[in-house]
Amino acid sequence: MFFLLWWMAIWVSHKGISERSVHIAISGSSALLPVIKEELPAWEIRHPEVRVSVTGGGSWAGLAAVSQRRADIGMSDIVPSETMARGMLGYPLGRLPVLFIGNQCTGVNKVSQPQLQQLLAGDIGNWRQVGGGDTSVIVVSRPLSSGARFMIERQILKGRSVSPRAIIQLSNGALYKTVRGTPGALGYVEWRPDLKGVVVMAVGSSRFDRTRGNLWPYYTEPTLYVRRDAPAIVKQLAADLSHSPAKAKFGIYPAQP
Amino acid sequence: MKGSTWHGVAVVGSLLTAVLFGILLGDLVWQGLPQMSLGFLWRTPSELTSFGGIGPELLNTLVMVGAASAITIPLGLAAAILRVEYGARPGFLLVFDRMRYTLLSLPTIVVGLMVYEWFIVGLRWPLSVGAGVIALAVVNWPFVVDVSVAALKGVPDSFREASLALGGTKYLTLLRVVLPSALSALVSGLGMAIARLMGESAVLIFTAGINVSRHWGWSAPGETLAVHLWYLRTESVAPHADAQAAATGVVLLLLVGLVLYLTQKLAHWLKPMDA
Amino acid sequence: MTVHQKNLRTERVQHALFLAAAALLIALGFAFWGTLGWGALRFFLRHGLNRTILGLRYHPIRGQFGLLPFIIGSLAVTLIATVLAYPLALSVAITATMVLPRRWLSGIRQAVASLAAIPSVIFGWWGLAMVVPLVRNLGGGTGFSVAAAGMVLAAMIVPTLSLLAIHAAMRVPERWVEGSLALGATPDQTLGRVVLRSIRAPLVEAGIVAVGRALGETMAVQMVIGGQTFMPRSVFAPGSTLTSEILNDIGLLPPGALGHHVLDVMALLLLLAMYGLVLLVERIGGREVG
Repeated sequence: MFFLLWWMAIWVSHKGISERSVHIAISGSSALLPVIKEELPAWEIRHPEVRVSVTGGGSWAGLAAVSQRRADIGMSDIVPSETMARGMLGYPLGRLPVLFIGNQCTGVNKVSQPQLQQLLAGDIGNWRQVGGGDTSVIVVSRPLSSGARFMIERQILKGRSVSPRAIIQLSNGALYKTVRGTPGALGYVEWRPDLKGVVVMAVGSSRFDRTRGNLWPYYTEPTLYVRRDAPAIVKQLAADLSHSPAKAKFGIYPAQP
Repeated sequence: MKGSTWHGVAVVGSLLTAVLFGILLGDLVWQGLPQMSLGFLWRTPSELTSFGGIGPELLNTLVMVGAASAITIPLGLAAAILRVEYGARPGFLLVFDRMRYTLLSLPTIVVGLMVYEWFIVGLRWPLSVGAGVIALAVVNWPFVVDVSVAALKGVPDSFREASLALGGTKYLTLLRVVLPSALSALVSGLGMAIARLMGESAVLIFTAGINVSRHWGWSAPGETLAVHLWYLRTESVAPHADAQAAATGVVLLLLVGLVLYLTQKLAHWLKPMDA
Repeated sequence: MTVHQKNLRTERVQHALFLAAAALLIALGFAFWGTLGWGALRFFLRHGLNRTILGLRYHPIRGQFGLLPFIIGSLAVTLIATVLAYPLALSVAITATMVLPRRWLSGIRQAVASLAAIPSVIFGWWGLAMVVPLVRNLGGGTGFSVAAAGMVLAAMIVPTLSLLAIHAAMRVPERWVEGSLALGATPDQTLGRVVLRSIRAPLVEAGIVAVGRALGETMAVQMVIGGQTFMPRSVFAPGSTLTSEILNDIGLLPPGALGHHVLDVMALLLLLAMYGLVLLVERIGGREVG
């Protein structure tokens, strides 16, 4: 009797797994997760035969997964290497500002670019050294897989690594919430609609203005990558997602003003 | 009483523990309260408004835990019956015991990694409810074996001897004597196993995914309550995401509590009078 | 066919099915050993055994795969958790079995068992909300630290440990306690020399089970430990454990990527640790085996 039950379960799940429907797997940059998760339900209603699964993991993970055929769409802020890019099509979403945020108790809302570099690299250990209160600087960073970290290490740190004493948070949102709750914390996030309770740092002469995001010099270019030989429905999903009207609400602005 | 200092210390320690868990649960409920409503239970999640819910996650949790248990309860019980009632060569039993204890204590992230490598990468399954069920089943199986072995060992040998002496075969003895006597302990043990399974998250992130589909199916992605709590606390940009995380936690706890309560009640009701 | 023959046939079929289920469990275990062992072997052939296990630098993109910081992190977190949780659990067990009236015992056991079923993400949530700020005030720094992870784990294993300790304490016959008190021993002496001494083995076994749970926990740890891949310089510094690093890097090192098998190595280390604990329990004799 047990075994009858058991076989029924196996049979049902086998039926279910092998049912005729299209699966699309999306993987990659966590900063894009909210946009994708917001846009997907409407798309799925229009395409009832398709099931779309989403995982994070970071930009590197997204690119690697697509090139190895384990995901269909890779969300990435990193431009793939030339050998990788040959087999891929990119659907750019636009530009997503990367902001430097500090905890409210640092007493600093403006740093120069060299200061920022030294702060992130761990050379400056106390906010006093850049005109703030007497609080230790705590750098919060993303793991190696992150596209935002890739951009920071290239553009701000000029090839150096983020401070070895940094705290690592798995995702964009976790990083923001950590900076918000940790006195003396400094981190970098891709813009998100719920940025409250943190100080958005001005860097040099640039000050971030939500309405004129395109003037801010630090940004990533989130892009959805698919393989060239992917089925039409995958390309259509990537195209539809990249043209999502909701993306402006998540801070993404068009590359050409 | 004189000379009972350590009893006093123990009482203080227990009070400390009680306060600790009181604060933990109280804080969770307190923070989750503003988001709790009936609608929260069936609405779909939303990233931009605070009107999201956990409907699909609730469904996924119930279905996945149910399906995984449907696979592991017969398998686990069968293995436990062999271990306790039938026996085998000592070498086989030694290997069996070592394996089941090792699997029982194995970190669930390792199980997740394996299921990911075998099913998602190897067999090219999508990140899905189905893959999640497999992962949960692997986590749950050794646990079911463990509680079943404990329940079967609780049946006195004299019961078996009486049945065998009356000419019953081993299987009949098992079916008519041993299992009915062990049923109460079995039900309460399985309740623990199922409750534990509901809170699993590490094993599911890379096997069932972190989103839900509009169309439910075995091959659709299957985020559960526990995984959703993790996602809300880390990535979600929804307003009041933290309160939603707490509310999700409250729902998860209530579900776990309900399973425990019902199985304990059932176990109590099934308990033989003399025991 | 007589009824007896029919019964005998059912008997054989059922026996075979039970045997098959047990064999399948063993096969599953060997599948874990095989997959992880094979992956780890391939990794070691390429990157060397000592350089991996004893290496200090971990930077997969640059091809550095030193795992020592994670091994130390796992051990430190487990040690902190066990040291913090054990006295609490023992207190609960002593209070439940020896101080409070016996008729409360089954209620307490059920309550503790329910607490043991609290999902680990909830402990992680609690860790972020309360433990991390607490550790920040206590030890300075960020709060995201090995110490925070240890404390969260301690809370997590207290119910399991208490439950096992209560079970152990219940095995002590009440006559022994009464006898000891009647001979003029104080309650303290009775507790130390009769009760605790007679259940030493199951208490040690409970400790090992708790160590296993602490060593294997992923989510709660990952949420509060800080995820740093360098060797933590103090308990108040961020670090990583083997489990949290596997979760961090499944995305970075998907199968097929160079260095993916370092995940297999980490998982194999955990599997070996768990197997070691099983053998340890066997040696102590708390569990019957074979």
